[in-house]
Amino acid sequence: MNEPTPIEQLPVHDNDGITHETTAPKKHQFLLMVCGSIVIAIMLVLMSMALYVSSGASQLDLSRPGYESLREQVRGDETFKGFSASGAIDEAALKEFDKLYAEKLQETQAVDAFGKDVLSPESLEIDQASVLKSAQ
Amino acid sequence: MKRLLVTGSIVAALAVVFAMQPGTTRSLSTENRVTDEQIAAIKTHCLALQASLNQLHQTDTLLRLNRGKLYQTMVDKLMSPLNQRIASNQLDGSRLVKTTASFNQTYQDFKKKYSTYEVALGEVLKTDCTRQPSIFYSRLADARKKRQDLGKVNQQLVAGAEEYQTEFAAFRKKIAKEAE
Repeated sequence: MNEPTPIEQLPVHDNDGITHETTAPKKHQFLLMVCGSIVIAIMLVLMSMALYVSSGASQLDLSRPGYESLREQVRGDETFKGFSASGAIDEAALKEFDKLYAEKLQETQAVDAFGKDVLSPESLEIDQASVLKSAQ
Repeated sequence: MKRLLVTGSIVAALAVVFAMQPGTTRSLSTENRVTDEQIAAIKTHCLALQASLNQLHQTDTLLRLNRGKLYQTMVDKLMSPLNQRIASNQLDGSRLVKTTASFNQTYQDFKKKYSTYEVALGEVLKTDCTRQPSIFYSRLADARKKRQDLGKVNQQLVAGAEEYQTEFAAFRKKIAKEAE
């Protein structure tokens, strides 16, 4: 009695006249493609995360959780047109530049950014004097 | 004798390597030395300290963003266009160009310094101050130092912006003199 041919090894005939054999690895090609896509996607995500962190973008990303309240406080400078790079250098142009520059310079001088020693033990009240004072 | 020398040099090398390790309680400098009372205070006020530092982390991020935008605007919308306009009018604006380049360089330094500070502050926030108060204190001192460095670079940026204004005034004066 003849043994039945396994389904995987049945010859397949299509219109090109060539006989193809459907083997087990070929049947799993779709599964391999799906797994491969997932692996590639994971690798790309890891690469982009590494870039996101190493570029410093992660430190300034206000879309992170806990930064919702700060998003509105970011000052947009979209309305500021600036100084034109083309044109003549005359008194009117220089006067215009002077006005625009003075405005921005004033903004830089208005706040002493990162100047205050807020991380000192005194500010955080964990210096020896504050500790002894609170213990009394 | 030979064995003793070999052992001695290995111990000395290990001691040097250990002393160079950052973030350990043993590497604390004299100014960062923490007393038992301070350790107790850190443990007691741990939650409040963490809350304050978290708040600072957020406000500093906002400050960095706003300052960054401001400095970038000054370069992109004011300094560079003026330099370009001076060059296209075939006038000598070399001092202004030099000041802009210096300002840009300082701005890059500012970005780097902020990044270093942010990492240091992140380390402080990650530290459990109830279990590791000494390490917390040491990391806090490190973050403080980095914030001070950042503050200095920010001052340099403001000084650079002022210098550009001075150079501009000199240039304007020169142009007015030549026009007479």
